Amino acid sequence: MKTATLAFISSVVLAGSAFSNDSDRCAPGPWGNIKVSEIFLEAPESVIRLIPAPSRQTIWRFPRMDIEEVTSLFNSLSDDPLLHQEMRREILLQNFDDETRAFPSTKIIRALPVAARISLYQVLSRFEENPGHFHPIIIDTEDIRAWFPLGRVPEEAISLIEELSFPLGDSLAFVDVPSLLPTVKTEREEIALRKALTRARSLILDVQVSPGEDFDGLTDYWTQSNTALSAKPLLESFRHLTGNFTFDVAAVLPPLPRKHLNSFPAAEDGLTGSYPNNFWTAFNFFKISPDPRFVRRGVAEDDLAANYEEVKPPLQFGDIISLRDPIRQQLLHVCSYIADDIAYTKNGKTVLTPWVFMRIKDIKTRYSFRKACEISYWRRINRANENAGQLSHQDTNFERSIGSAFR
Amino acid sequence: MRNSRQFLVASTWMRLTISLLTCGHQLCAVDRPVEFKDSQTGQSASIETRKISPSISQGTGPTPTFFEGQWGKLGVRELILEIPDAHAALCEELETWKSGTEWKFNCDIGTVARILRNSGLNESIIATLTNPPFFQDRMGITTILPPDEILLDLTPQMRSLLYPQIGLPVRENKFQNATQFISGGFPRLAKTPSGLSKQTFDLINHLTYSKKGGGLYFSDLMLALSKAANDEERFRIVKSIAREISLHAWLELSDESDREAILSYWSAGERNQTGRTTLEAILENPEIRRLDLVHILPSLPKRLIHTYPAREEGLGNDMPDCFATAFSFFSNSMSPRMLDSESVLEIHSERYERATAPWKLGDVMMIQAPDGQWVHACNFVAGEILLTKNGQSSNSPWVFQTINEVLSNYLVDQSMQAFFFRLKPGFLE
Repeated sequence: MKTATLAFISSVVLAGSAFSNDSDRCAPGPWGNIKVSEIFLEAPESVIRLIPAPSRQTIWRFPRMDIEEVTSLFNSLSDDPLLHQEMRREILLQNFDDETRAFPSTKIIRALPVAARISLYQVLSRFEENPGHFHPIIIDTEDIRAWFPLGRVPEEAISLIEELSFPLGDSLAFVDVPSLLPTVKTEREEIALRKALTRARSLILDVQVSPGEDFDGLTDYWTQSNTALSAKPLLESFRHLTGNFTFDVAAVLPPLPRKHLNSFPAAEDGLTGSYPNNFWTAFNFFKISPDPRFVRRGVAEDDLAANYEEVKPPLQFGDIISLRDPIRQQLLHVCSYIADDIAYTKNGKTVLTPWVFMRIKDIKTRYSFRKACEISYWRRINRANENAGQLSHQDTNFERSIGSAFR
Repeated sequence: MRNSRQFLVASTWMRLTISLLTCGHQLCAVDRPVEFKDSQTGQSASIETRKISPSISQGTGPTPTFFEGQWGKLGVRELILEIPDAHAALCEELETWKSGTEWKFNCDIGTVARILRNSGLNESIIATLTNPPFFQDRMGITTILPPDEILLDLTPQMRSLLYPQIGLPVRENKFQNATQFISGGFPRLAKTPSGLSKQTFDLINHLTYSKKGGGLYFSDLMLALSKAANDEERFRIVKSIAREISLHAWLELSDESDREAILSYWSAGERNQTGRTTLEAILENPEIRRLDLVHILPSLPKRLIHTYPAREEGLGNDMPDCFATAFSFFSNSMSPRMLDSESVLEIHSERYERATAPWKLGDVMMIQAPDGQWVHACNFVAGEILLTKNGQSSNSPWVFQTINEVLSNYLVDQSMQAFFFRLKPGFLE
């Protein structure tokens, strides 16, 4: 039995070298005047090599469906009898106790009309057993050719991505990675392709400060009125710089998100049994040491209900943005508000998804693949509690000696 | 190294000899002036002249300074960090300043009189101080309560001779373990608005003293607090004297940048995977011309730079110090074992070897006292920049400082030495 391992593409986001120029500045706000530059992160080759090489055979898994139901689904995709005939010939179906598995050829995948593929993939995306469909590769542009690093992805592969990708909001989605793999001839080319497929767009945010600017306001925003204290000494030191200057938002993030920004999880990040996901990332945003329990959706839900209040825009630095399944009222995704239309997010729990700054609309697109989701905003009721790791007046048994012991 | 001249200023220099050893470079603080000698031949090697002054400003100043090399074009601009309000509020002296200065001696009054005499105080003052009401015997502890006018009249030399003999050698003793100001002293720390009156500023300057070999020290916090106009100024004093110099650092990128060389330098072999991932992405975008160094540091220094230790980062009252920081440079997080100084030194001897120039990202510069004790460790970043944590205190932030800045603060004894070490091949940390 072939087992198509698609883990290497689960939750990955395609990005590319098409650096946009049309939105290179945030709208002005209490966060200051922010210049935005796009970058595209790729998982390190060492991480790619950790992931078992996937099969070139596509597998579609239909849990709790028998062969008749799957065949009926296939037939419903098109009224074309020739296509039905082709599907019967090109898709091997196998029945298991609790699911049916289909093994389509690339030929039939390419033969399916776009609408049929979208319908089929929406069914497949309901099941986590189909990781590539559950977390499709999202390409935040219509120009796939400009999306990949020049010369690192074979022309044949790019053509196939153009052919098989399908629209998703303002973006494109792609799930047919196994079909892509035969386009590379050597192991080195395959590693390069798999690495390119992990490309994720992030943003470099530079706050540009002019003389006379309201620096109190800026400091207030980025420290949340003294509740996110770690960056305050640095921000206060900027106050005395003369002339125009720039500071990077990364430099004033709380320690934990700063450490992870634009990086992929390290092996050590998974020592607690699971790698950080979106819940872990958002609910630990202000914490000095991460609380590993937040990888669990239930813990995140409970904390949100107990310690946060729903708020309306304008949002504040570090507010939680939640995307919720409107039917099941279940959290689909959470991320942390940064400024303007930008959030800090980790889109998935695998080692192949980095922590990034991302536009909120692009995050919403990702999580609207299966169905529309509700977006809401949350603010911690007593943020002072989040700074538990910071020194407080209650710490009488702590450092009380100022300036002594220079070394 | 070639840019070190940018930091040279003429004054009473501490002499620094850098000797070439077969296994690396050795930096020794000796008595002025400066030259380099080959340890094999004894001949001047003339590789580099590095002059260190403990007493005057060597900062990069408010305008950017640049260092070009294999790391690219590194820009730096001086910053002055202040401890957070919550840290300052814990300063014990803010509550006890009304009780005035106390000198406690663990010896009899006769010995104390001899100490005062040897420190240069005249007989009249000694007589005043060694008799009631200024002398008290508190359960066997000889205690002197010096009046303000005597404290104010002490010369810097008297302070430097007397204060090291007051009290017990514990961290809280501000006489034996005085606040050490950076080179340039309090005027340099207070050059950005400090909220202090001119009188208070002058008073702190007046109370500053130097020790043999250099270094600028301050012990009379109680006196300074008692002279402040109000509680607000007292708070500002505490925050001002605990200020720390750092550098805002960034890479400048241009079409002419050697991007492969830059990527190679910051990757540090395989050791800085996080920095490499980000830098690869950034170098792909030709529109990015300026990059804050925070993006390309390894994970741990990326997290720590320009922050003060939080309670959770310590073990009890033991906070991460310079050694824990320096030997965790490439780590994803700081191992609790790093707070055990013995373990750190075992790691040092097992995993590190003497480095040869040019220094590389993460190399450890260590400073050794004449008795062989290691007193400081910090990491080379690029150009003339080090990542350093100057002290175990929770009031010491992780900062960038120039090599000269660190040397001038630590090479306060003529026979102290500085060495560079590098992880042996095969060790990631």
